Amino acid sequence: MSNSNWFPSRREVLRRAAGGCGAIALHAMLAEDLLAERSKPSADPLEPKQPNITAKAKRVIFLYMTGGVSHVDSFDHKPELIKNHGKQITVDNWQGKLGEFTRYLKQPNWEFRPGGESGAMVSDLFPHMREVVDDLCIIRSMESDHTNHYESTLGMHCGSWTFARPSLGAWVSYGLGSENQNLPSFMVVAPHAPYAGAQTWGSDFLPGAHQGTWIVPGDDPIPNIRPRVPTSRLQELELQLLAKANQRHLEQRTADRALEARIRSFETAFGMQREAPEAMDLTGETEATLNMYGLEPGQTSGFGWQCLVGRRLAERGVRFIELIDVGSSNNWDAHGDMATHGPLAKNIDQPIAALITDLKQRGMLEDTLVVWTTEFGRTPYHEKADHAGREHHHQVFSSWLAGGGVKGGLVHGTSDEHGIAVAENRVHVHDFHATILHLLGLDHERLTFRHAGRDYRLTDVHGEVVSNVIA
Amino acid sequence: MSQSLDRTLLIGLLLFVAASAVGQDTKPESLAFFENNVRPLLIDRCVKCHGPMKAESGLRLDALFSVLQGGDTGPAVVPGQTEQSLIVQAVHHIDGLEMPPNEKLSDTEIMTIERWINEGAHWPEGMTLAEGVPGLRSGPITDHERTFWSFQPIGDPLPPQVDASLTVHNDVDLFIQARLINAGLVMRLPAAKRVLIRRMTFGLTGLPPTPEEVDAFIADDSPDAVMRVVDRLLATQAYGERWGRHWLDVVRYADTAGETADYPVPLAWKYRNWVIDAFNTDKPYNEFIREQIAGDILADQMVANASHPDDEEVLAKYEDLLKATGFIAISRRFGFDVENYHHLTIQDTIDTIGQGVLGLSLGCARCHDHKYDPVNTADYYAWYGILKSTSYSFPGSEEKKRPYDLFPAVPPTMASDRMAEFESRVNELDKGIQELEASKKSAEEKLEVVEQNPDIDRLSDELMQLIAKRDALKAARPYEVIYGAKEQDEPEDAAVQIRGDPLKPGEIVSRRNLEILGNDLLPSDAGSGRREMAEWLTRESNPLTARVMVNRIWQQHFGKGLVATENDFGTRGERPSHPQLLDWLASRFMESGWSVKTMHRFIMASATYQQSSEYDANAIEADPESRLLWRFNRRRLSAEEIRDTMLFVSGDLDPARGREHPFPNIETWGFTQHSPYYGVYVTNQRSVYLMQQRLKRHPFLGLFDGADPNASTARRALTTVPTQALYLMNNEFVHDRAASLTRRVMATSDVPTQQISTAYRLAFGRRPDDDELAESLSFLKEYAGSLDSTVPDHESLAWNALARMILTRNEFLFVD
Repeated sequence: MSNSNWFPSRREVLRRAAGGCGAIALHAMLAEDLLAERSKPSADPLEPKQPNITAKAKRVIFLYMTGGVSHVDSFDHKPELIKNHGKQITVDNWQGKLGEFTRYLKQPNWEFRPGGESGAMVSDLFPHMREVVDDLCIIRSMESDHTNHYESTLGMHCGSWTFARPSLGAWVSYGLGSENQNLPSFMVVAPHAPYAGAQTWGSDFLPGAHQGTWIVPGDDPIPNIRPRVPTSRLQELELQLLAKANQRHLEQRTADRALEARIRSFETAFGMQREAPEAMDLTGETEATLNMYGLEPGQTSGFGWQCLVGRRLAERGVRFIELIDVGSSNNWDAHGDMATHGPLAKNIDQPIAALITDLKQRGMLEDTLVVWTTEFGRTPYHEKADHAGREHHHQVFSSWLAGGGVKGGLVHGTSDEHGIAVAENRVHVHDFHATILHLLGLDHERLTFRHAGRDYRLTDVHGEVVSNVIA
Repeated sequence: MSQSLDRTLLIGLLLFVAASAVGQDTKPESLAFFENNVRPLLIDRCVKCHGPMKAESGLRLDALFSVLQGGDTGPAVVPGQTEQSLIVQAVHHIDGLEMPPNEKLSDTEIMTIERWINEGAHWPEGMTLAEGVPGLRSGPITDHERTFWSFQPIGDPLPPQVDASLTVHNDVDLFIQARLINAGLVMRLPAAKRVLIRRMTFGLTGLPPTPEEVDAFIADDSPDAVMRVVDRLLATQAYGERWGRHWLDVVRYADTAGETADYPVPLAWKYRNWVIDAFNTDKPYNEFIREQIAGDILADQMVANASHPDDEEVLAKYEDLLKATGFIAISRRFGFDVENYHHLTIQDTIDTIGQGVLGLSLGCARCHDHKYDPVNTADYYAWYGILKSTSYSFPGSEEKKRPYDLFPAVPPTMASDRMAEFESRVNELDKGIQELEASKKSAEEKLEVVEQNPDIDRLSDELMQLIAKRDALKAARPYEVIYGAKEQDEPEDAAVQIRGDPLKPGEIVSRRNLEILGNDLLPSDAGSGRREMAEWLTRESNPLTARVMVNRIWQQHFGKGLVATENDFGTRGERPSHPQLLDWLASRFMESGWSVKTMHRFIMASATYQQSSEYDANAIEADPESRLLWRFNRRRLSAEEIRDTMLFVSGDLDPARGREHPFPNIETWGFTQHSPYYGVYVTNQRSVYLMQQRLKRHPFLGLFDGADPNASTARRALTTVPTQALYLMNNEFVHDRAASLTRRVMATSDVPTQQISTAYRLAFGRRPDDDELAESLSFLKEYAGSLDSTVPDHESLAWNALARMILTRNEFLFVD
């Protein structure tokens, strides 16, 4: 296969498009047909859309740590917890269960130190993130609704703890469309599936084109990306024929989202053949950049690779990029021993700090919202004195936002003296979602989709924008 | 601090007000009204979102004080004053408060609320509604928990009567039509015959109908044309390959063990094929379950009772029963040294029995009483003892690199006889070899110079022959072996493992049935207890087993079960959409002798099954997922169906039954977590025979949403992503199938329009219309013209491209 046949210059693609035989023209033709058919404002679910309020951010990089990162060992400094280590207390809500429970306070395994000019306290678990703390807005008053991984992972992604609903990324894709028709608008880079599997990036009742496309780090992150026919001209001919046949098929079968999504998936796949390998190819990155992310030349996996690919996808207009560190096993779920947080933190700390620095250097942090979260925190106490582990704790935990119109160096909200409950400025997951949407210029109460006779929202009937965190 | 003080004061004040408002009213009529009308209403419609699991808007409606205190917007109920009770505004959908959000309460229900408030909002003292709704539970099973719908005996309700003008083929339709009428919905017209035969053929065999089968069905005007097709399909081998696969999903079948190095399980295929055969022979489902749980015990009993235990038939049955216990042995293995994690493997077995057979998640009771369903830690360890008294075949692991405890496929006495015979023959040959070696040696010593000697040459030849004979004998086993389960010599009860930690034993629990299923004890002569467990699971009084299975059959035909959480019939699961129909089907199932094929006939004969998948704007609004079955739901083909259909249509499908996989020789095994086993084996047999790994998914099956081989899959969650489109555009498999389809089509005719027509008939079961013909012809011409002129055979290349566009279009990938 000759490369010149396959990867024409951008100008060439545009010229062909103007000539009426490129993929873009194919797409336009399809869109027009759909337009005529259903007289909707636009039948292309991924067409870029204007936000409904003023936007501070254009895209999101969502960093998701699987298993439940301990807040009192990372971003929530609790001197009283250290002082009262080993003391017996009574808690009235243990993992969502009401009653009276005798527990023993348990100090963090890591020392806390102030970082940056803001002096926000971050533990030695994340020394690199502490260095960029002036760019972070740490929220220490997060709250979720459920004590199980499955439900809380679903809740953090879909705003629903029981049923699968469209994921945050799907809502953002639905609200803003895609800036690059040759890549999926919502991409997930993860070595393993988290709890609740593909539902966490599903589109549920939203059009299927909004669901996340999962990329697995490794030598072959996107199998079948190399075209097998000799020229793109031939593949265009093929796909035009396919699109026409599928369009006729769809016309006889009104409003079937699965069929529409399948049609759309071929268009994106066509463009991905050119754009995706380039996005995943780090050979053009400088040694300094690779070093910053802690990457060896030629490395094709690890969270450093994911973060750098995340930046490259952001540059290419992918609307929502989710990076997941580990899967539903061997993760932050430190029931047995908090020491297991150590290697997991090492895996993510330097790359995440590098991502913030890198985005900033490139002037992209202004309009890229970086979100760091987990499904819940971990109990600041244990049933047994001197137990090495911590259990699930959704009543309060920590997350952070950075870039994209967020006040850097701010700490919002507090937990109580021992980090057991929210003390001030509660940020429920619904509020967190409302704020993320708001920063993207989407009013969470107006971003709705009609399904089963009702207008659905990511935040259901809840959510308040946390205006304090907005610059 | 001050906040919580305020809160305490406020609640105290409210309770005081409440006591004065409702305290004096203890009339039995008020109590009865609350119990009969208000309590069920609150539980059904309110407490799910305003209760222990979720307190939306800070409001809980499960206890008096929280009802009076209200949520973020104020008190939900002010006793005696409907105008000031926010709940009344909400249920009327006044002032933006619209509750419940999905479906407004009926007028009667609203009147119930109003009457209750007007009469003083009576609430039994200290009572909360938490019981019976999915709150967190633990401790003794309550009477209320026992009243949960799925634990009630299976009824045999009479089908409802419906208007004679409605289409009704059989009783199934009566149940469906009755619900549709209530919802103001109308069943679609029958699907076109061409659509129907495609639906039936995929539904039963996972393959499309041939053009000849389509023609024959369309030509068959007899009233039993549909059922003739059903019977024909049920008799094919392909039927078991499609439906066996569903069971393999449920029991998270895999060909590897799943521990850190993912050791291959070369014998797992015997269980897989046993499952396929069981569906093909319509093995009664109760036997099917019994044999998987206790096949080895049943086998021993059968041999003991047989008048001629050496009969071939008896021996074949023995082997078959042992293969069934592969169900237990294919449980997932964990860790570096698998033996240290056997408690997790047993959990995996218990959880799969629970979800698969009973629709109950039991695994969580390993560490604590089930938080939602009436299953306690003691129940879990009662079953744990049964499985702990069972030997599982061992697959090999990083620490111990070879399998062991593979069980002879013949009865024990025969096995020891054959082993003795085998050993004596080996010994005999060894002896002969030794003698020959000695003779050869002495012959050689007699010679002064080493030279050619006919005697020695003869001895050498004889020696070599004998050694070869011995080695061949040793390479062959005295009998086949099975990867399965057997009774342990000394069965024993297990101790509770405190918080799931096997190093922290608690009290010993007798092996017995789950309390909620009857709490039966083991007889004194019991072995492990699996024989009894098999009975508890399959007796007709078990309220779950038959319901769960008919629901699976329904789900495979319609996309969703009547209970849409097919693996969860517990409190967190969904309630049945048609509870009466579920029971009616379960009763017919047991009545038919647990015949799965009979259930297919019931379902497929119905007008409900045979209706079209046509769109209706109003019905979509009311019931977007067609839960009430106002239409047949279009579905995408499963991963296996996509691959098999491409093979079938291109003529490349190898119809042979799959057997073992070409795993590396056991003697070479040394897999570790750093270098785990990984393999993909190419075959053109049906996808059910593909080697499926636990730690690394099969690339095709993983991409197109195949079953998760690590956990029971009740229903495939389907995705549509560009990476699938990339596969369809660029993968060699698709290109090869298209090339085969081209050759197949070209062999039938030289006339392009006929070639195109043949391809359409093979792929879609229909002929192309004139536009499609014209479009295809012009495509072939333009494509050939765009090819590099130095490349030979433009015609075939263009046809390959056309064939690819046939094999990847939506009409191919979806079934109406």
